Amino acid sequence: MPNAILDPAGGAGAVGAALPGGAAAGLASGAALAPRPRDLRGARVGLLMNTKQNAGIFLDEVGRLLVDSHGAASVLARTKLAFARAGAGEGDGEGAAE
Amino acid sequence: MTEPDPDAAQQAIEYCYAQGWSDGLPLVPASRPLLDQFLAQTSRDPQEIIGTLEQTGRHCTVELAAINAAMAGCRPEYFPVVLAAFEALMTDRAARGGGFQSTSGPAPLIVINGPVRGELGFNGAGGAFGPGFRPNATVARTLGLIVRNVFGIRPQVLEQATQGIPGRWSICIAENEEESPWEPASVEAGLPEGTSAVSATLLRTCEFVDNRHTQDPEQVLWDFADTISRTGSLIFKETSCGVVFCPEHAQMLAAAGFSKNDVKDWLVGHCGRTANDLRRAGKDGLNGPVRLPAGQPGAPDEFSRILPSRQHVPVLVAGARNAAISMVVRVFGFWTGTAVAVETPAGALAGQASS
Repeated sequence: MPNAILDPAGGAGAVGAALPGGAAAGLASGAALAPRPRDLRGARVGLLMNTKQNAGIFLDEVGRLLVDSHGAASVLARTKLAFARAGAGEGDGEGAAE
Repeated sequence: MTEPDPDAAQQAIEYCYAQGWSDGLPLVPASRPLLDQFLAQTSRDPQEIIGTLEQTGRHCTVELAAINAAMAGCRPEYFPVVLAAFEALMTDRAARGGGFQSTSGPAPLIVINGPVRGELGFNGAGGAFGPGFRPNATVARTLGLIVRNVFGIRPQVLEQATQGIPGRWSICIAENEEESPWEPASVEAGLPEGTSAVSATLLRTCEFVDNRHTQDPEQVLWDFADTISRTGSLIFKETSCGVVFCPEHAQMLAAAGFSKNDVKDWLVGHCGRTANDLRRAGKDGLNGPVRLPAGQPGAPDEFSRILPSRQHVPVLVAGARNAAISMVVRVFGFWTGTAVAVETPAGALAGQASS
């Protein structure tokens, strides 16, 4: 009986690989999603621009639609300070506080 | 020893491909006896978590790292270097915070210092950036397999590299300490001389500077400044960019009186572009830290520096003493200046005795 070939992924698949029904494999493994608001009426919505071309123009329009069509109270726009930083580091606290 | 069975080996390799574990090249099929050889090289608990990617909720254990090292083609005795390299890379916030899935497709730069270079055969001389040397090639490849298999980040799924960069998962160099006029990166990081250690960061790319033309150190440094300062690489107001000097360039600079910090200070002071250059590329304005076209032209000759401090300019030495060819290494996030000591075989034996 030969030895089994070991699994270098420890049984997990690729993150984000599509599953039937639209679910994404692995995204929820060990990570809880933040609570979702039931709707946006009266909410102040934070939008994080990633510095890509036209991201600001696009998110400005998204913000306008959230206020005009979905009842958001206001939009708080911020820009990533550096590559690969999920919430721009020190900006995280600022955004949460505001 | 019986002859290896090539047909069985081919079947095992194809099995690994079919599971989606490969980076495109054949993997060494890992088995329990091979894994045990890797785990015997460290005192660490196989289930110890050595890295977490918060955005995916995935954890890398010592055992999973060992399986990927085996599959990458490492010999078991490389495993303490793999553990140090992974720990060093994970000190880089860009690696923890989304760098592996970035459109930039950045590559780890792994730097080996100390006696382990000679003991295991890491190359830091001719062809330091590879290929041709098993320790360099397989330790770097291991990190790529960990990202793919353990963190689950695969190209065109969560990994969104627009083009990627040549050399991703293959850039591992030993410092040529014997021909460097300056202290090794590990000593600069605060470890005692003679310590085997690994430093790592993510790179956006490597670009050669070939200057065999002058013996004037400032002219040579200007040549580096030109490559470092090219506008195509500038996204934010500030950047981080290092140089892996070949021994000839390093020795010429040292002979002219430049310490490592003198070189860094010179580059900090001279790398940058004029407002006119930046305007030509649509990068003369700023929105916070991000460059964009300015509405109004400023003073055309106003000079903007791009390297804010010495720590943004890692300086290393590698390569052969046969030409004046060095490499500019464009840092993706920030060089932490951390060197992680490599566990010694004595440490592994002690750990096993106590467990």
